[in-house]
Amino acid sequence: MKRENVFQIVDELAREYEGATRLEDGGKILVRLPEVIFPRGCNPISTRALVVLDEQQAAPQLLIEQVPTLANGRTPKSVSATAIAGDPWYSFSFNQRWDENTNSAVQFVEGRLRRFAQNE
Amino acid sequence: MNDIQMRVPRNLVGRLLEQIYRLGPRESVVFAFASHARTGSRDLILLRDLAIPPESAFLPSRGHGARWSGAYMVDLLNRALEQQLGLFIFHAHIGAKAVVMSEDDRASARELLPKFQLVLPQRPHGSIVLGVESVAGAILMPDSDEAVERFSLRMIEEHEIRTWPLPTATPEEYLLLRRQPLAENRLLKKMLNQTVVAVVGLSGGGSQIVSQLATLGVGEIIGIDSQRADDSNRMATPNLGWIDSLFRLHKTTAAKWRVWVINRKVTFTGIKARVPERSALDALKRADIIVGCVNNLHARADLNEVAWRYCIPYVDIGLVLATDERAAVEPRPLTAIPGNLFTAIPGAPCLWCAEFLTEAKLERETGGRGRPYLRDPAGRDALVAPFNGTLASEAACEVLRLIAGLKFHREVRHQYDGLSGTLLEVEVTKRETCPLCKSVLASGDPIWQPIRQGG
Repeated sequence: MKRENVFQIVDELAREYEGATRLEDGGKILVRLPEVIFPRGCNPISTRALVVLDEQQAAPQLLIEQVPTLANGRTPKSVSATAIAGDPWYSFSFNQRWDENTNSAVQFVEGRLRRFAQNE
Repeated sequence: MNDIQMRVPRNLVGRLLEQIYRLGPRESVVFAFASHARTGSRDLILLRDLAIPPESAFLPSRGHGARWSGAYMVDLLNRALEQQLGLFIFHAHIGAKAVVMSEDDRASARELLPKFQLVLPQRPHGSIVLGVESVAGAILMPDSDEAVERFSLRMIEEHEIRTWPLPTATPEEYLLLRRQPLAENRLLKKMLNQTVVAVVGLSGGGSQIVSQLATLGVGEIIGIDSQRADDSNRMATPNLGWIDSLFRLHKTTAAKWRVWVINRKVTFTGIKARVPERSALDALKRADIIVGCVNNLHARADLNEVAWRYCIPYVDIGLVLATDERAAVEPRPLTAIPGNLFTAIPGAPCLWCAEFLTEAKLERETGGRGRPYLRDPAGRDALVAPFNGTLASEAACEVLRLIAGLKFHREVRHQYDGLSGTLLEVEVTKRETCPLCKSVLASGDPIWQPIRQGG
């Protein structure tokens, strides 16, 4: 990602997610979102999230604090835990088209969360 | 209030002591930038960097004490603010065996520390004086306006963890520890008894390390494992037997029982969780040494991150059985029994510097899932208990070496060859560009900042 795009994403996240905070850690910019809402049917309905912005990577990474159960009651597959800035977060794989020059930060976050609308 | 411990990583210890004990026309002063962290049992102050004042920073002084310019002080405070770190002043009373703050030191701390706190209230600030194996000082913790004078200083060195003040002992006991570190000695027992070792993974290697640590008389062993014992474990360790498997005991329960049988004075704290779950991370933060016996690289990466962030030495072991991947016949022939023993000392090379961890290797690994010892499509169990035992014993030796201070060149990784029964030394060097060493080392608990638009 381009440096100016990274800063633009940070600004946009702060605008769209009230109470967002940032941290520079391990050469990356981390933005903590106090609440993101899971798709309908998930339990719990929301959690805290972390956006990892690394200039070396093509796209940001979204991690969540709590893994929801899906609308069908199942636990999502391919979710793994990782320690970032001393806290545990869960990452998940999801095929999402997102381009730093044409898509917004909100599209990135909300698009990634659609992974939990899939019942597997 | 929690105990307070200040930790100096290996890359800073030499420079700090060399500068502080330097004889000159005036008292030597060194400034340090520090983060901090709160654990369940103590507050940690973690030194990130040093600032050695240039000669031009000093002002003429009437006595032996040092005075420095306001401009230099402002410069330091700006740096501390930019990096969100606390500011500490170090000096020494050379030759003082049980060092104390002088009246001048106290007056200076009373004047300066509240000013530092005004600039950055979220981090601790302090004035520290070093003597001979002793330390004194005043530390102003965040959210407090009263300086704390009781704390310990831990220097993480290549061959040992030195913590000042030393436990009380007779001169004969100190001498014995210096000359024969492993001889039975009340002082060594006290040092072991004050140590908390976290063992992550209580299967083949970890279950054997726990027994060794209990024999040594380590004060507390934190055992972290989420699994229950099963029949496969019986081939990997003598410490998980038929009864553990029959009752499907949690590995933490089996380890707790074994520790009690070996040494009732040792506390065993079982954490039924996986790294990096919250309870596991909280328990790891409390440890003085981490021993990792995990079977995947993702868990190792997490352990290395925790160890570096809070300046905790990390001993890593692992073993696999390799088979000939190109063989067309089944079962594939066994080709090697490679193992690994690496003691990562915060401030020295980490697992990333040693290229034991790389992004490519992590990507290749299947999401951190466990695997059997034998790298073979059939997924058979293998009789590896004695091989694990060799590595487990060496890991326990490393713990003892670090506590007792046995001189040993440590910037090597040990490559174990189970076929020949040898441990080969592989030199490792610190990579100057390593992100973990550069950004995470001694970074403590993060301070999240509100986002200013356009910033």
